[in-house]
Amino acid sequence: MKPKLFGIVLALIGSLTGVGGEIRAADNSDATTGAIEVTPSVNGVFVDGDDNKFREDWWMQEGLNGGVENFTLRRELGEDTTIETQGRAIVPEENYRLDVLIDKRDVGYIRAGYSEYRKYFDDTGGFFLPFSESSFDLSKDLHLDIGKVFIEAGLLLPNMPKLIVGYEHRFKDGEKSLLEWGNVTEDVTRKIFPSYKDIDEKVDIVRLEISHDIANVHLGNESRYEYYRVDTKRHAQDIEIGDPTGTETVTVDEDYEHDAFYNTLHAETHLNDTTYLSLGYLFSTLDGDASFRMMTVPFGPEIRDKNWFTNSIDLDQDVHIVNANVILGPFRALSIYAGIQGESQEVDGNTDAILTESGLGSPEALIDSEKDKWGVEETVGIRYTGLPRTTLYAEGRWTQQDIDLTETEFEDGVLAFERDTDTRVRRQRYSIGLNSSPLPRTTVAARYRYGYRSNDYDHNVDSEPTGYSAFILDQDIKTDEVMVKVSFQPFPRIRTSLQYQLVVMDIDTDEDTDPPSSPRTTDYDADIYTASITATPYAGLFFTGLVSYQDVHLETVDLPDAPIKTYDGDVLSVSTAAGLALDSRTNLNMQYIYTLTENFQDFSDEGLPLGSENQRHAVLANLTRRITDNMSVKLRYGFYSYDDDASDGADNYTAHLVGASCRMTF
Amino acid sequence: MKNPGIFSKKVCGLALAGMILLLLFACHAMKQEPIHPVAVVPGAEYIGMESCALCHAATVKDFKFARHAKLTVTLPDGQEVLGCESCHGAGSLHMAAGGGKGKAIINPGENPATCYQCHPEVQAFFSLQYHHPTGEQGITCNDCHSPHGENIMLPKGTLMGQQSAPCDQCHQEQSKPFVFEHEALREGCTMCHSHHGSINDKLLVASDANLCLRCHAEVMGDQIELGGGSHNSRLAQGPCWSSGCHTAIHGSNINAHLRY
Repeated sequence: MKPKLFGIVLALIGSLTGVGGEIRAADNSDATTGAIEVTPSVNGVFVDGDDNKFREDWWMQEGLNGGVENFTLRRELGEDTTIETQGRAIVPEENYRLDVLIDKRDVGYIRAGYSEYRKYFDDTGGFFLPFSESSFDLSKDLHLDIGKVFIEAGLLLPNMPKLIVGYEHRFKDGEKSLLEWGNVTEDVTRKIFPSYKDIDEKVDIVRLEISHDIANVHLGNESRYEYYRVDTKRHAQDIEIGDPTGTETVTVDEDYEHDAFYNTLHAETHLNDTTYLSLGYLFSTLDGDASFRMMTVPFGPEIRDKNWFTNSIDLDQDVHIVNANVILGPFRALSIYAGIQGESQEVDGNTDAILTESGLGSPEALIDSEKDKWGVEETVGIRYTGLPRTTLYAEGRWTQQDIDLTETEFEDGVLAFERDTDTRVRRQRYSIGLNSSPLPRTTVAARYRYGYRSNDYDHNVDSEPTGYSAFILDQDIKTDEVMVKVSFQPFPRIRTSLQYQLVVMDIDTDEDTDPPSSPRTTDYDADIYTASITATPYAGLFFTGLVSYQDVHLETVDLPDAPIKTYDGDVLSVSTAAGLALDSRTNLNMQYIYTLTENFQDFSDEGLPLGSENQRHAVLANLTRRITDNMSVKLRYGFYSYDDDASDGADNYTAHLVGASCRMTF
Repeated sequence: MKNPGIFSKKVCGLALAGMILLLLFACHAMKQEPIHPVAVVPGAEYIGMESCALCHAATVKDFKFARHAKLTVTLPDGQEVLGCESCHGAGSLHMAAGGGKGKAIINPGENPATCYQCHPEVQAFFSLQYHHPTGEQGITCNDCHSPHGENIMLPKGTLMGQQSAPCDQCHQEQSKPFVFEHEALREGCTMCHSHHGSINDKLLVASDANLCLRCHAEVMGDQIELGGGSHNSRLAQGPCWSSGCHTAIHGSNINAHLRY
């Protein structure tokens, strides 16, 4: 059954079985009570400028949209049996949701649902201001419809094993933008031409969960079978400005499907008030098949134009994971927890392909790869709550992994590529912190995290000794993170918080070069400042405000004329909301969102600047009037603007939203 | 290039106008009925975790090990509320009604506003230009995080032990196995993606080749060496994942250099 049809059927079931119950709205802003709650709505969106950019930013398209913004229902079907439904349906946004839950106390439940939403994508690629045409768009309606349908039944009889059976179908369908931009040539070449991908992705999942308490031990087994398939087609284009004959199109068709089975067996017990034990074992196996077809049109003018296709691609993956955990305490306010997990993973891949390249023939490539991974991870943590109004905590986590990777490629029977790499991974992560209320109405949270990961590569065989892909000899990644947050209530109705976060990452890499070079260090640091306030100065007014400022610095190479510059960026974001009771029946709610991004550097002579320099504003106002006890009306207005200097205004827009909804209960 | 400036006239003017408006509203609001921001159940009183355990025994039992277990909320009268009701709001009306999903109780699983009260920095990420649709399309914090468990990430059940499990649920196309893997995925998705929100498309940590050069670059004289060859002229045209280059960035079934 088609997902949408299934959803409509569920909606009808919900409507037919639900009349006559009682509900109470969870949203307390204009709460009303009744049997059914329905909120029809209609909105008009008017955009001046780049409407594709607007809809990508704000998840709604220009024009009219409307439908049922919210539908809820709760009804007693009989003794101990209830039905609850909740849903929405907004067109043409393809925004649907319906959940139906029928619950009978001490017997079980059936839950079914359908949800779908649409994600929009701008069809503009990159920008290069020196070109006579600085940007291009595809004139395509790029969007993905994303959703799922599910049904689940649980048998929850007292003192009997708990049984849950479920089926779920997920989907993604449509076209999305890519960042794989194509060449645009006018004296120089810059890769800014937009590209996109068709996606048809589906996954069917069947689940079975059984659990039961025997003595003081909770035993459970969860099984999942998954049938996943995805068909994609990538489109990229190279053009020459002023020369239509210079256009070349590359499409890559890929299909993939797998069957996968996962099973987890776990047991846990509270031996006593201070000792908790758990054990788990996961086994999963995956069997996948894929195909690949790449076409270049026109084929041949350029050397190495590619028309590749595969006869077969096979992928297999097996995973075993075991873990054991213990939590001890609290003993005089001290709790200790520890865990150990072992993992084994095997991945095999085989490809049989014909690699036709202009000027180079059509060899048949037989590719094999095999990865074996073994790993152990240990965790130890403590938490101490013995100090007044204070929690102290610390955690250490260590990982040891050995990964053996072999890859071979034969072209027409001749070895073209071979790699055999053993990788030794060692990882350490530590965190220490506290949460405290040292003074009345004041709380302090502080945390320090340190992470260290060492990847040591031993390339036993490498047919491209200084080239891809086995060219990293050793890599260390160190991360330090500090966070301090102070929350303060100067008055009972005003709460404020200030937070500072520092993230520093150093990546040291030693590569296999000829002549040998010294190890290189990449520096990344980010300072993030956040301040917030929540105030309810009077019963009829609330205000929340949030200001966040990020200062990011990323330096990878430091060369004066290099095509890459150090990344320095400022980001400021402001988000505020206020609510005001105008009278006993009327509320006004307002929201303002602002972001400012500044990290554009113009180095067009040396490369392709990809930084941003833009401002976004959004103002939203809702006026809600309760007409009767069972009906309220909401009028809304929104203003949006986007001003992007990096795109020379090509992405700019201003937009207005006008809408109304009516919330009714019966 | 025009520099808008963080404290531009437009921003300052809007802020000033907003404050004046707020003051005017405040004078008016003193006379009106109460309205509530979030995590307040009108008319309800706090009943304590023990009362919650009467119906939610399993959740309460495990919750004492959770990082959220010591959460407290200070009420306007100075009273401190510990545990469940610090996020779900006062529970007396919910209990009196006999329970029920969302019945006289706040469900942060339906609305991230409750989580934002303690995690404002996350809200700031979600307000950036590119973000997961927590506000727009009903995706909530609970879809990736489990607030009741010991470890608030979700490597449990049939996804036990898998580092990128929260991402894999919706992004299988990127996490599925490949004949040639990109070893960066061993570090996890967040090595390259800012998962809550970003100023860069596809939630990238950086919008240009700096993203890749963190791990892949050697400087030989005035040249940026990658895999045994100078890449200066190629990097001048665009980032590493551009068309014709290393487009199969999550893994490839046909090319060891992740070209397609």
